[in-house]
Amino acid sequence: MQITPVFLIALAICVPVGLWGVVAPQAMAGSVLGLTAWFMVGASWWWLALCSGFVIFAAVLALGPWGNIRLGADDDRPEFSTVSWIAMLFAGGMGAGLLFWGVAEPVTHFAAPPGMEGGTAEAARAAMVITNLHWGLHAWSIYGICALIIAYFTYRRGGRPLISTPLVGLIGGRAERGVLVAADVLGVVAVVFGLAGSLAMGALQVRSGLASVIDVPETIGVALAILAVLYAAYMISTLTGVEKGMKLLSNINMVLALAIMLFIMLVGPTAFIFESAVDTLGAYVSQIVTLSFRLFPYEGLTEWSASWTLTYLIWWLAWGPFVGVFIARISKGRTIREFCAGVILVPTLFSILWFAVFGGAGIYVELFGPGGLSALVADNVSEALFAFFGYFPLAGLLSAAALALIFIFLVTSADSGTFVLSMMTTDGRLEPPASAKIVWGSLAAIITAATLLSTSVEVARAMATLGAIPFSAVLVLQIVGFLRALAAEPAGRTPAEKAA
Amino acid sequence: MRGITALCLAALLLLSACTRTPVVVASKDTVQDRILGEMMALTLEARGLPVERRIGLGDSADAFQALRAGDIDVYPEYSGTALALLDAPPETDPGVVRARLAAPFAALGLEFLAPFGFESRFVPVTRRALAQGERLARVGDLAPIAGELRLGVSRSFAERPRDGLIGFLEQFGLDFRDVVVVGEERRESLYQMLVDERIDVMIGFSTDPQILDFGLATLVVDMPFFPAYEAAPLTSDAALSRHPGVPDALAPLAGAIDAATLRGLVRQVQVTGRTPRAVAAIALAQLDIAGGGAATPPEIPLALAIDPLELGSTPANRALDAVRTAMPGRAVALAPTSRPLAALAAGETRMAVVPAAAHFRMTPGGAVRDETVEAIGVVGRSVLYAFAADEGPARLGGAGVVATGPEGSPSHLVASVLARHAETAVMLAPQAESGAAAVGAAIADGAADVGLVIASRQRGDVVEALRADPSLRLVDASAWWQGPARLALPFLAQATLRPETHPGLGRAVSVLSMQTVITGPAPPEAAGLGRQGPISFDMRVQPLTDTTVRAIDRALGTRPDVGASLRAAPALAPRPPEAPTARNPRPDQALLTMGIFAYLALAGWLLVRRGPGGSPRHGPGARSTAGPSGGRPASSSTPQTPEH
Repeated sequence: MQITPVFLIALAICVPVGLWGVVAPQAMAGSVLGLTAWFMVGASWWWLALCSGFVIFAAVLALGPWGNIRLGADDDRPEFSTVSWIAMLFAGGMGAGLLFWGVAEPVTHFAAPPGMEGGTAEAARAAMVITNLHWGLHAWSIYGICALIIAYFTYRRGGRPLISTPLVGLIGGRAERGVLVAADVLGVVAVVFGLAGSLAMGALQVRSGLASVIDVPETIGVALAILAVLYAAYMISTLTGVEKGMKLLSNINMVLALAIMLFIMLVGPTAFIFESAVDTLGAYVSQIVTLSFRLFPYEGLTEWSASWTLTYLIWWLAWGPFVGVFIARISKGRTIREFCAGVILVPTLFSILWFAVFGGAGIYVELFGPGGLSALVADNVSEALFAFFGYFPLAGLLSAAALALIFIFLVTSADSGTFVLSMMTTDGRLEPPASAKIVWGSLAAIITAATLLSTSVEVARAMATLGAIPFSAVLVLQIVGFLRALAAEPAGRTPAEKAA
Repeated sequence: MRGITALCLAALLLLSACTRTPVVVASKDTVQDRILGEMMALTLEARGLPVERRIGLGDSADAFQALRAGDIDVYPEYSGTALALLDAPPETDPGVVRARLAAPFAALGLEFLAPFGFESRFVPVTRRALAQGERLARVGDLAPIAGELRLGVSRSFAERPRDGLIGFLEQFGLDFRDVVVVGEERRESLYQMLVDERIDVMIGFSTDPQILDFGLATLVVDMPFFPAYEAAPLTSDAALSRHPGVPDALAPLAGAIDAATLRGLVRQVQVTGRTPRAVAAIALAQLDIAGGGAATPPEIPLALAIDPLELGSTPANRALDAVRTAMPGRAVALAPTSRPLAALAAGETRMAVVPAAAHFRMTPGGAVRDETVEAIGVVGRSVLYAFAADEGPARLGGAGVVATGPEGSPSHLVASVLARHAETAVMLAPQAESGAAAVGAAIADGAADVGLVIASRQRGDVVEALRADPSLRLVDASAWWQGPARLALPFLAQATLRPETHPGLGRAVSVLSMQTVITGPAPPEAAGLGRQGPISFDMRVQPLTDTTVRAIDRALGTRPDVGASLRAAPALAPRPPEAPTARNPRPDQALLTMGIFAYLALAGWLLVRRGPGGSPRHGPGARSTAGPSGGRPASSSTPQTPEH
């Protein structure tokens, strides 16, 4: 395998940080947390403006003069039918995070909303809107733009699917090579730490699920054991390249998740759920402008914004390249307009429905039902979903199904993550060598283990954020490169015209 | 077409008739009535009848009125109360009471269903020490000394026209110095007040578990005043015609509950903090009447760790009460465990109720405060009892061997500090168990001169130890204040035990006391962002939120603040007026902001300049000539198709 400078430099950054985390977790946690806090609180306005800028940029692209540009040659047609494309988008976009935070986030915000009293009807409405702010248009605009840039440069300009591809030709001169390598390295670091954080969170949720279903004690040993099983599972799947198997698992997962959602929808307070979905849609659409820029400077609540909204948005930035690669792979031949509508609008609507089902039912339990859920969630967030199932019949079956679901989601995410990392460090090879996959898969597992050992998942959050902060500088340059490339597109082209 | 429409309409009508109106089950708002109401509701639901609950509706008059008005269908009532509500004279025989009720009830259209199987009478209750001292056995014995005593009653008892307070005082010729009336929902607080010596006599129910738990004495009502109160569901003829299946559905409850069972159920709610509904469900399951049919919410009670010997004590009950008030709808339970703060640190319980001494640890340098816990509120005081045999030392400082609880227990800590500062050599003899029994046995065996126990006032084991061994006495601690040890343990204060409070106490004894506090985990020194937000669930035990701390503080009412020697939760601190912040509180953030704008300016320049290689003039499909390392040029007719 040809060792690229990106590979070496990325390793040189990730390995020491991982080792430091294993050897001196508290020290690392302290310094990383301090640094992250400084960036997040000091430049909170920048993060929010950047991520909201993505939403506006996506809208401009979809509605503006560049909407007709095809991601591919002008006479290309989409590779997949619209229906399968949307189904695959769901599969790619649904993740363990939706399951983890489906109940926990709305209920947490219902109990403690920023700037108002918890437990009231107003709090319920605010909770649903805040949740959708975090998981709706902003998240999908970030993924969408990242994917769009990758797809554009890969299919229409024939470049390699690397972070640095849009930056080619931007700087010029001898500095350019260094900048390109730096951009790739920052992308790799962002993905590694983002992946480690999510795997750590997932492992802890699996542990809570096991504790609730089969009474396994919630110790660090169990968490590491779960990580070990996860590692084995995704290394096997990534190395043997069983594409068909992964696709099948992915489809099973999606069906299972939808089944659980339908069950809760129909067995729970159905009318309330749909009322909540419609109400939230309206509140979200009408408040999106306010919320996209809201930072609570007058209430002195910047820490709340930083803890919740900005953390999510920056986390999505870290996942941008990762999710973007996969969305780009299935979107060849789409026009920019179709792409934006499909990738951004459809998953947003779905997540509004998802949170209306899980979060709405949770809020129903608090407002009209027996109650006690928000106290349980405040005590132990990872248990929220399983405690929520306790209010429904067949709780054991639901919990077991959710557990399987989370585990498979983690395996597929880790598998994809390993693939992306290997691809990004071997010059964009679409079939990265096995040795690269082993290295990156193991490194991700080590950093996840370091996170779990440090008994503070805040370390994962801080690392993911720290990885994403410099990466945002790269994103800015990517957008600059993209805009320059779009400007080079002759205006008013119809599909019938071909380049001379 | 017409036929189909008619069929559909008929089907719709049939469907609407099938949605039955629910049976409205209510109850009065005492704990035992809530339990009975829930049992009735769950039994009806188990039979498939839809139920609407109005548990805790109000007092006897409210419920009776609601039934007559048709707002409710059935609620548990006592035959004697019904008699009194109808202003009829009392009868002490339950059968006679029912006979007396027959005619008036028929006129009103009301009916008692089969009785539950127990009687709950009003009983006057007093402290055992007072009853022994003044030789009180019957209510009549109160008359001569009533002028020095205070009576405590609940509001509904005060307002009952026939068998209530005024009639009681008149019948027995009692003129109390003071009559304290508390709201019906705080009726159980009368027991606390009685034990705290804020009242001397109170009127309780014969089915209250506190009478046995606190070792209180009941007075015999020698003149017929209170009628027999036999408990049964009370319903109206109108309700029966609406729901004819109700008597049949409630039949399993007939005679199923006796007084002892009910006492146990009430104890589960009051002492261990379960909700009445959960207790009712468990009772029905044990009686084999209803399994877990309807989906009841998971009862994961919030646990307060406490020493097992403290169960039932006033501070424990006050803590339980306050936390339950602060967290409505949450099941709160006391979790007896031998090392409460260890359970707190391990995350097994959310809070602990401990004496102040438990907040300190012994180190080679002396007693050091444990910074991993913080005090949330004061629920009472704990007394440092020092036992000695009759021939033992008279003062705390004169001991040679001191028996204490196990190593690490609060009594061991206090003894260690005493040993350090004692003028003579003092040896410690930690026992295997804490409590007066173990310590008393050590003294009786001669293994120790003095034994230390930290307990709430008049705790059961202390009183028992003093009663069982007459040669055991309490040691005076008044010399403490002259010693240097008092600076080492700043949370100790002096207290006096009066002779009548403990058996075998001939004269007043000066002892040491400390606050008993609700304790929670303290927040660790955190760097950076708060502990909220995604991915932020910490595996360490989390401190309680400020909202909860303030709610508990409010629920405790007017109580002393946490002593300064203990670490108190930050939410309890009075908020000082905010000093105005500087014009630019964070200059480093100003630099960061400038850096961001500089970078954006650079990016903007890169966007608009005529670039070196990737000039905006080049379009897709053209071979790029001056491109440095990067993608291979593509032609428009053979686009690259990356493989999946």
